Parts: sequence; C-alpha cells; structure tokens
Amino acid sequence: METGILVRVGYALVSLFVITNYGLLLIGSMARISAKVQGRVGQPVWQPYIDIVKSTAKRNSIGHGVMFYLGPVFRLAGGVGTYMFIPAVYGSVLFRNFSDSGDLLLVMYFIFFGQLGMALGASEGGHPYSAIGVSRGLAQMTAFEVPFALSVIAVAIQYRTLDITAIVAAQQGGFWNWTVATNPLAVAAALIAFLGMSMHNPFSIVIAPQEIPIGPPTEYQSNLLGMLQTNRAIFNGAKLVLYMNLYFGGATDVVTMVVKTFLIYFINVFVGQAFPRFRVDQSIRFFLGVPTLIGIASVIIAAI
Amino acid sequence: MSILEFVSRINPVAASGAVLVLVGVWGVLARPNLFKIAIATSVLETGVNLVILSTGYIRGRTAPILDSAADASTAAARMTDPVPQALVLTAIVIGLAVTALQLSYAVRLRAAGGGSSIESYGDEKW
Amino acid sequence: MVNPLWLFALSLGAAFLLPLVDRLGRRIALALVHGVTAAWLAAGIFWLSILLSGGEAMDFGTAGFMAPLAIVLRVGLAEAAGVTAVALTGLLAASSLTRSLRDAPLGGSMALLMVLMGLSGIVLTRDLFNLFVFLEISAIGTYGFLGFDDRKPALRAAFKYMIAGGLASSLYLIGVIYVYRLADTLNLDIAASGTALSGPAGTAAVFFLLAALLVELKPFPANGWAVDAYETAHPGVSAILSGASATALLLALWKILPLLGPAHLSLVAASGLATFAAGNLVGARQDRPLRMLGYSSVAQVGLVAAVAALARLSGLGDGGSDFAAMVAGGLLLNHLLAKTGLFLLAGAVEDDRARGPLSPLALAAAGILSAALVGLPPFPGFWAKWRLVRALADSGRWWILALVLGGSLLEAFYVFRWLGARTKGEAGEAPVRLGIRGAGPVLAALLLVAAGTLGGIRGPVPDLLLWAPWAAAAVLFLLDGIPGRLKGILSAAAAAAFGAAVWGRLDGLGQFFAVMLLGGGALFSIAALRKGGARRGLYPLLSAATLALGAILAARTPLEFFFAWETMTAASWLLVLRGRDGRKPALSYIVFGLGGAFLLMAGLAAGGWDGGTAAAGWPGLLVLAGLLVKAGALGVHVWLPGSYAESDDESSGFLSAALSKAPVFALFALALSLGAALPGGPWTSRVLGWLGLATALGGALYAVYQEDIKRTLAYSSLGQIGYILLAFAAMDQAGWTTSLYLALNHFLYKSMLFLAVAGVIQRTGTRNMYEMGGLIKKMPVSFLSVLMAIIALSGVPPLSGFGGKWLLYSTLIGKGWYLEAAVAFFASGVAFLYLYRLIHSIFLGQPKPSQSEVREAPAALVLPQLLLMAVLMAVSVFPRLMLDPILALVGDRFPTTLAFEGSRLRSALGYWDGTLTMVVTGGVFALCLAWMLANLHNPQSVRQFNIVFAAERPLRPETTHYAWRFFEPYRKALGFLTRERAERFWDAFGTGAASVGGALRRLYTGNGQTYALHVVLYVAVLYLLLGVL
Repeated sequence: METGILVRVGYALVSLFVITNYGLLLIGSMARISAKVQGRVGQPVWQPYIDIVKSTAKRNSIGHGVMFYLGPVFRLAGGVGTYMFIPAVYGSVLFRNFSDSGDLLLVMYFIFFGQLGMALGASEGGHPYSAIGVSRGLAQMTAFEVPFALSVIAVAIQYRTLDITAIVAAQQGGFWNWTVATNPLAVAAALIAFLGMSMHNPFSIVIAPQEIPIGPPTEYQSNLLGMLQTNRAIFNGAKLVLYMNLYFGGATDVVTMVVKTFLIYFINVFVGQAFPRFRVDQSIRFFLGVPTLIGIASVIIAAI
Repeated sequence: MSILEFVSRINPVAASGAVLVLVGVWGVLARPNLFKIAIATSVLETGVNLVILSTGYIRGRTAPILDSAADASTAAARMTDPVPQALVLTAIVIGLAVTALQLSYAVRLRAAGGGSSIESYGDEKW
Repeated sequence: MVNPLWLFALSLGAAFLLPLVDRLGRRIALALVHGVTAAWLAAGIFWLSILLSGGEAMDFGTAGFMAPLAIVLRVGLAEAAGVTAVALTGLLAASSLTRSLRDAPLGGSMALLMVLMGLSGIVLTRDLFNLFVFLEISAIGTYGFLGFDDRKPALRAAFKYMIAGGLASSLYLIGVIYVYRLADTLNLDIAASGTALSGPAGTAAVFFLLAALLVELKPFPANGWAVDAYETAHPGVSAILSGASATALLLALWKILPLLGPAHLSLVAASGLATFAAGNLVGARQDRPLRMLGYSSVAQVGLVAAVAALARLSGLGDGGSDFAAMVAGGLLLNHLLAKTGLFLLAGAVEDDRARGPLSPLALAAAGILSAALVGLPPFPGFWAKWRLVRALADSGRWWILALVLGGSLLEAFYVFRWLGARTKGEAGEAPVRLGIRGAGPVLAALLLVAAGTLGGIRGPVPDLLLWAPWAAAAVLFLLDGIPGRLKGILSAAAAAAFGAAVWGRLDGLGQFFAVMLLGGGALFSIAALRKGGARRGLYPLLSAATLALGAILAARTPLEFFFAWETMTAASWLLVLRGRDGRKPALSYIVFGLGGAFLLMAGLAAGGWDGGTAAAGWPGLLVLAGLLVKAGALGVHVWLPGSYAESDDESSGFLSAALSKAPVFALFALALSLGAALPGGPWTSRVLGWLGLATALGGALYAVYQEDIKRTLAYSSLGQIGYILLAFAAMDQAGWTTSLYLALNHFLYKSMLFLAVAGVIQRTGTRNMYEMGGLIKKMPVSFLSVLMAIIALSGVPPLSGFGGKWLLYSTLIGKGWYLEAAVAFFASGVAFLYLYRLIHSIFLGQPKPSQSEVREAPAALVLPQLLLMAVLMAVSVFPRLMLDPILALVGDRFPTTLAFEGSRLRSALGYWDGTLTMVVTGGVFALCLAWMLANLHNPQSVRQFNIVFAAERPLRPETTHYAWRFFEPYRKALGFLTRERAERFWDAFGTGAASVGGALRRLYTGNGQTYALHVVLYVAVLYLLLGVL
C-alpha cells in the first residue's frame, strides 16, 4: 500500500489531468445538449478548451489587489483539493488521490475552501454585483446543504462509516447494493440538493447567467477567468465523483465513472431545461421544505 | 345568666375605655381634618389609659395607700394593684407630648398654606 | 463594664444643657451632640470588646433594685452590638446632617440626641413598659427630627408618621397591660420563664405587643407612612430611621421572641416575607432614588425579621440561636451600613445641583454600597445570605428560598439601575462634587469592606488566593492615577503571577482552562495598551475579573466557588457598565448574571457536593440551569449581545473569548463531581444537546442580520458556545474532546477577531460595517488575522477549525444524534453568511474617502494577533499539539473511540489527518499560485472605480459598496426564525412584574388616613390569621 510520495504526486497529477479533460468535455457536451433542446445549433463540444486558451492568452490582466489575484487561486485550489480528497475510482491506486487525508466530512467542508476564497477575491474587486451574487449564493448554499447533509447522515448510518472508500466497498455487488436502491429517499434528497449546488435552473439566480452577469466572476478576465473556467470543470467532476461514490455504487474503472457521472449530470440539464427560475428566498424555502423532509425521512429509515 | 347579671359583671372602666378606643380609631380613620385627627388620637389614648386603669382595679379592695385600711403586712391582700396607675401616669405624659407635637405640626402645615384636610397632603405616594 | 445609666444621664443632661451651650455657638452645641454620640459609640465598642473576649453579659438594675422590683438594663452581645450600631449610624449621618443642623433651630439637635438615646434604650432595656417608654421617646424624637429643617414635604410625611405611630403605641400599651395582668410582671425574662402567657388570653396579649412592634417595623402594606418619611426627610434623618431605628426595633422584636408561640412566629415570618417581596416589587417601579431606597429598606427589615422568626420557629440552620444571630445579624449589619451610606449618598447627590457623573471615590463608595446591599461578595450580606440559603435548602423550604432569591434579584435590578444611572450622570452636565458629605458614605463603604473581608477570611474563605481579585482591584484602583499603560502591564503581570501561584493547585482541567481564562485576561490587558491615558476603572476591573476567573478554577468548596463566581460576575458587570452606552446592557447583564448565580447558589447550597449522590438530582439541575444562564443558552441569552457590543472593545474580547469559558469549565466540573455524569439522568443530556443546538443555530441566524460589527461577533460567540454545549452534552469521549477542542479554538479565533475589530473600530470610529469597506490595503495584518479567524471559525480545512467540525459530526453521528447533526450542519452553514459579510463589508468592497487616512492598528493589537496567528497555524499543522492534552484530560472515563495513529485521528466512523490535509492543500495551492503567476500577462493595477459597472462610472463608494442589509432575501425566507422571541418574553416578564409592582403601589395613596386604615386592617388580618394558626 505504501507508495513513495513522489509516485503519489505523479499519480495525483495524472488523475487530475483526466478529470480536467473529462470535466471540460462534459460541460461542452451539456451546453450542446441544452442548445439542441432549445432548437439552436450550439457551441462545439470543445468550446471550453477554446475559452480557456483565449482567456489565458489575453495580453493584459487587470487587478484590484492581492486578494483579487488570490481569489482564483483559492478557487482552483479548492476544486483541485476537493478532488484530491476523493478516491475517484474504487480499488485503483492511480485514482486513489490523497483520500487518506480525511473522510467524507473533510470533502464536504473542503468544498467551502474555494468558494470562500473566491468570494473574498471577487469582493476586493469592489463590484457590487459580485457581492450580491455571493450573498445570494451563500444564502442558497445554507439551504441546500440541509437535505444534502441529511442524506449524507443517512448514508453514514447505513454503512456505519464516513470513509468514502468503505462506503463504495459496501455498495459493490450489483445495482441492488447501491444506495439508490437501498435508500432511495436519501438519494432523492441529495439529488435535489445537487440541483442547487450546480446553480442550474431553477436555482441559477445566484449567477444569473442569461441577463446581467452577476456573481463572483463579474470582474474577472484574462488568465484569472481561465482559472475559474478550469476549476468549473474540475469541481464539477469532483462533485459528480462524490455523488457517484456515495449513491451510485462508485466505479471500478474509468469508463464506468464516465458513464455514471455523465448520467448524474444529465439530471441537472434535464431539470434545468424544464423549469423556470426561483428567487433566492423561494429557493431557500424550497430546500428547507420537501427536500428536507425527504432527507429526514431517509435518516429515520436508515436509523431504523 | 341574666342580662342584668352580665351587665353587672362588665368592668365599667374597661368598657368605657373600649368605647373611647373605638371612637378614637373611628375618628382617626374617618375625620379628615388634621386637628380632629389629633384630637381623635388623644381620645384613643385616653381610652387605652382607662383600659390600663381597669386592670389594676380589684373589686372590694381599697386604694393602694398605706393608711388605716391597710398596713404594709396586709397590703398585698387588701389593696388594688398600684402599678397600672403608675404606668398610666407615664402614658398620659407621653400622650400629652404626642398630642402637642401633632397639633403643632398641624398648625405648621396650615400656616404654610396647606389645607385643613389630610387629603391635601398626599403628594408623596406610590 | 460601664453602667449604661450614665450614658442616659449624659444624653438627657446634654439635651437640657444644649440651649445654654448654644449661646456659645452652634458649633460647640453640635460638638456636644457628637461628643455624646461618640461616648455611646465608645461604650458600645468597649462592651463589645469585653464580651467578645469572653466577658459575661451583665444586668444593671435601677434605683438600687433588680427585677422584678425595678427596671433592668442588660448589656449582652446583641445589646452591645445594637448600641454600637445606633451610635455609629448617628455619627455617619452627622457628616451630612451637620450643615443643616447648624442652620435649623436647636430642636433638631435635641431631637437627634433623643432619638439616639431612645433607640439605645430600646436596645438595652429588659422591661416591657420601659420598652414602651423608649419606643415613645424615640418616636417623639423622630417626629421632631423629621421636620427639623422645616421641609414642607417632610412635615406632611411626619404627620402621617404620627398617626400610624399613635396607633402602634396604643396597641403596644394594651398588649403590655394584659401581659402584666396575666404574668404579674413587666420583666421580659420573668414573663418568658413562666407559663402564664401560654393560654388564649396570653396569646392575645402577646399578639398586641407583637403587632405594635411589627407595625413599627413597617410591614407591607402598613408602611406607606414610613416610605413617605424616607423619601421626604433629610437624607441624614432617613439614614438614621432606616439604619439605627430599624436595628433597635429588630432587637426589640428579637427580645420578645421568647414570649412568642409558634403561631406568633409564623405571623412574623409570613409578614416579613410578604414585606420583602412586596417592598422589592414596588421598589422596582420607583424612579425617585430616596423613595426607592425606602422600599428597599422596608423589604430588608422584613427579611431580617422573617429570618429571626423562622430560625426560632422551626430550627432553621440547626436551630441554634447562633444561626439566627449570625444570619439575621449579618443581614442587619449589611443593611444598616449599606442603607445608611446609600441614603446619605443618594440624598447628597439629589441635593446637588450638578447632574453629571460622580467623582471616582464617591463612585467607588456607591458601587460598594450597592453591591453590599444586593449581597454580592465579599460583604457581610453575602455570607449571611449563603448561610440562609443553605439552611433553607437543607430544610426543604424551596418556596421561601425562591422568594428570598427572587426578591433579591428584583432589588439588584433597581439598585443597580440607579447605580448605572448615577455612574454615567447626565450627558454634558457638571460632575457632582460631594465634599464632606461624601465622608459618611465612604466610611460606611470602608466599614462594609472591613466587616465583609474579616468575616470571610476568618470564616468560610480563609484562602488568601481567592481574595486576590479584590486585592488587585483595590491596588489598581488606588493607583488609578498613574499612566494607563503601566497599569495594563501590572494587570497582565498580576494575571501571570496568579497563574504561577495557582498552577500547582489545579488539576489538568483547571490548567487547561487557566490557559484560556488567565491567558485571555493577560492578553486583553496588553491589548488595552492600545490607548494611552489613564483609562480609569478599566484596569482594576479587568484585573479583578481575570483573577476572579482564576479563583473560580482554584476554588475547592461550593462556597469558595460561588464566592469567586459572584466576584467574577460583579467585576465583569462593571466592565460592561464602563462602556460608553453600557448602561442598559449592563443592567441586563447583571440581572441575568445574578439570576444565574442565584440558581447556582440554590443548587450549591442544597448540598451533596462532597461525593454524595444527592447532588445528582435537583441541586445538580439547578446548578446546570444557573450555568446555562451564564453561558447564554438560547432563551436566556438576551443579556449577551448588548453586553458584548457596548463594553469597551478589549473588554468585549475578554468577555467573549475568555470569560465565556467559565461556565464551560463549571459544566465540566459539575459533571466530574457527579462521576462524569449529568444530573437528572439521560434526558438531561438530550435536552442540553438540543438547547446547545438551538443556541448554535439562533446565534448564527441572529448574527447574519446585524449591521454592528460587535453585535455580529457577540451573536457569533453565542453560537459557538452552543456547539460547545452540544458536544459536552454528548457525554462521551468524543463529545468531551470536541467540547474542549472547540472551547480552546474559540478562544483563539475569537480573540483574533475581537483584537482585529478593536483596531478597526479605533481607526474608523464606527461599529457599523456598512460604513467601512476596502480596509484591506490600509490594515493588511488585521485583514489576515480576520481571514484566518473566519476560516478557522467556519471550519474550512485546512485550519484547526475543521478539526472541531470533524470531531463534532463524528461525535453526533457516532452517538446516534442524527437530526442534531443535520441541524448543526445547517447552523455552521449559516455561519458562513455572517463571516463572509464581516470580512467583505469591512476589508473588501469599496473604500470610503473619509477613511483614506486610516492606518494599521496599534502594535498593542497587532502583536497579540500575530502571536495568535502563529499559534493557530501551529495547531492546524500539528493537531496533536492541541488534541493530545485534551485526550489525556478526558482520559478513560468513557469508552475510547478516538485515537491517534501517527498524525491521523481515527473515530468510530472515519478518520482525519490534519497534517496531510495541510500538506495537500498547501501543495495544491502552490501549484495553482504558480499557474496563476506563470500566466499573468502585464498585470495592471486599476483605480477604485475602474470596474465594469453597467457602462458607467459608479457615483460614490457609499452607493456602490454592497453592505447594508446584506442578506435581505435570507430574512425574507427565514426571518420568522429570528423574531426575538426571548427578548419579547423577558420584556413581557418584566412588564408583568412591573404591573404587579404597579398594582401594589396603588395601595400607597399618600393619604395619611388610608395609611392608618392599612395599619388597622393589617393588625386585624394578623389577628384573624392568629386564630387560624
């Protein structure tokens, strides 16, 4: 089991490379699917690569101060770090990452690392829209974390552990061992929370992507924006992998991982295309309503 | 026992004292005039003094004076109790002082332009 | 021994000579009056010294005879003390009376002599009729004395006083004569030794005696005449009435106690307690200080009478008369000195035309007198009340106990409300100069300090270490003139020295908390150096509070603990009061502080703390409840936000970071003393857990909506204490580890936050976050400190805060508290909201032009922050630095679920490797940073308004800085959770109590005849009750 530290770093970099590319392609393909639904041609699948290259190649970068520059660093480090603490593929040394740093709780809290740093960096830009976006995002975040936390607790009760590898191990042996089969309520709560986490419709007011650009990235440009775009891919990947591990039996190879995470992400797009948008206060009340009740029910079922 | 017998057993001094006490209390409670209150207090004290006196009185005995009716050896058996009389003297003196003081305060209050009714001196309350 | 008859002769002779002496000048006449009073005092002290050194009580006959043939005067311990007290009060009052006596007609001086002589006579005589005579002498003297300076209101009150007095004396005479008739004697001792008074007639006769004395003691509701007199008379007269006269009359009551049967005693007790309760209820409604003190006075006297009766009636406190003498005597001494001093002080202040603040010395006297009156340590009332509460709890009289403590709390409320108002004075007014009129109060305060300290050191708390807070306060107060910074260093040194002295005595838990409590005190003493100037009052109080925290750790008996606890409460209350707008918050701080302390007191006094199982029931629950009030659990937290917000900035930090750990320590000590269990069984733990959780969530939610930076932090502290309670309630190894870990962490990051915020407030001059902005460039160190602190507080890895979160959820899920875990998760999510708002609104966003000159905070704030940052970083990289000692502390009391494997901590559910987390995060961060730097092309710094703002330039920073009502949608969604229900409940509670007081005080119509009717009805009701009993 003991691997040299340099080897581990090397493996981690490979793993990171895989997830980055996968994340970018995922975003690109989802955008294309959305376009088809809306009757447009849409962007090419590799558009995210083009965006990053373009941003990074900008000749000037405008800065508002040290924290402004550090914001994307925090953000990207947050995404990469989150991924690093999750074992991406069950039983694989290559994709084990640094999951021995901590269990599920570490991952759940490390998600905040990037968000917090990003929010601070954006704030230094002094743009009110950044702060408005952050305030909306944080407010919504507190709400969707509740069903998610409940479902995680249900999982922890069910498998008597918070160790992600152990949770995946317990789900091996066919579909009927997956959490989605053994405790569907927990998965339902978690998936609803996931809609909020992904900030797609109906919970997209945080970044208001269609009309005025709002939210942390408002003031960012050049390679700083490029980092944010990169992070989006990695962070999405990390969250998807986490969901897959907790609820969908994990993956024993990269292909399974790709298929499963693609399908999980597809739920987002599906819902996002079908529903209009909530106001922030509405979405808070929504998350603390039915999804929370589902979460509580899942905990009760698991506890019994 | 007949009513007459009952009445005859009442100590007349004590009874009149009790009546005065009640009159005094009524006066204190019901007459708003400052001076009448002072007088009522005085009546009350007089009633109390009569009650005190009545306790010293023993039917069929002589006054507590050493003379032909009783000498020192028979005094305890033949005399009424002298102590209440002595006490009453003190009480009267004290009552006098209180009444005088009360009246003088009433005068001072009136002289300072206050009303004659105690109801007009209720500024300190609650 | 000196025959007291000489003294009576002296008084009478002097009174008769006065008109002659007055021809030589009023000064000489007054000197004669004071000389005679001093002679009484000297005789009293002389007798006391003889009796205390083993002398026998002595009887003095008159006219060559002894009882039953003549009046007998007795000089025993009680009598000697009474005479001393009467004369002492007279002399104390002289300081304020002298000027008025000089200007008034001579009658005033004669009346003073007569009052004091009459009162001494009441104390000394053993003859019932002679008692009447002295009662009347003092009464007549009082009537004259009330109106001596011809104040119109006093004349009015005196007339009412006379009506009631007349009724009382008639009652007494009737009683005396029938006692004589039945017992054939007027001598008390002979009457008490026979059985002649035990029949129905005897009971009635004694009842009249008793009723008269009770009326003279001003019982509720027959006391309007007395209160009017207290309010209107010259304060010196009120002082003598309240101090000396009450003492003499109580001793008269004490004297006739042997005559009383159980029914009589029950009446005294009931009447006294009713008076205590009603007096305080009505007192709470007063806005005129002297009238307020009047109500307080009748209430106190009622309590003393009730205690004396209860002790005799039912053998309270082992039934010894020693108990009654010590408790009733202690309460009386306390009342006597405190009330005398307060009447003199309040009177002088009211008379003064200036309405501004008091001078430091007068302020100290006022504080001491008020604190003594309320029964705070170390004054005599504290020791007496402790014994009383103990005895009441021992004998299971919970109702009386509740009544006594409730009444005391009310009294504390209105006395401290007055003190708070006096401390501040009215804004912009000239300071009050008391001059010689301050001598009486100061002397009374000194006597109280001396009596209390001696009583404590030679009595139940001989350990001098526990007195260190008082010593520190006194020394620093005396040095208050020297430069503030020097005092700050002294204060920090005192904390260090105390720590060194006490370290060896403490067990592991004590040492762990000593780091936070004493260390916190020293830290904030240093932080206080940020401002020059004397900063009067700050350092004595800060030092006293710090050392009191240390004393709490070092206490070994329940009384010692409670002594230190109340010391801490008092000192920290004054710290809050010292804040600029500290008056109202300080009042709720002390009322809730004392409320909690009284619960604690009841629990501690109920006993069973020496290893018995008795404490695991109600006593333990009471202690727990008291600690929760002090910890600020949701529902009883209403005192907390205002206090933390309005006190001086370093005091806020001290309160929040250090002092809030005192109840946590006490909780652990409580559980440990019960064998690592909570009182009341498993439900307690569940309820406590939910209470902690509600506190955590409530604190976080309230913090979200605050515009005031310090209120945000205050609510944040509330929430963090909630987590500590929650984890503690789990009662297992993981839970306790979590609780202690969270406590230490909270100390670290909350200190950083408060230090940083102190600097920000000092530099910007405002506490409203929306008025700041963009300070990161001006105050980078403070920014960094806040950044690290909020990362730690929110629990984001890799800083140590995550350890707390990990431990907490591991505990809760491991314990099976699933819903609790979910709510905790929600609460810590909400914490992000206010934390982000805090750092954004202050340090980021748009800088304000008015703050362009702002500099980094002073070194006194920055250096401690750098130190704390280093500590935080160290414990984040190496969690074992903190967790190893904590795990050792928790030990093997519970089944072990947490253990280290190298740097990895394992729980029953998962694992966490703090070091590796830090390394990975650092590595990833470095990678991303390198990426950013490598691709950074031609970076350009732009000006403030160079932002993409809807294609135009923003108008002003004020309109561009998004800060005010930052989370408005959140309020829209979840505002219903934070409607300040607790505040409204306590407001309603206060309104309710005030309405009761308001209804009761309608009895006091101001009409002398109504008062007379009260007297008559009071006696009639007592008589009827006597028939029932």
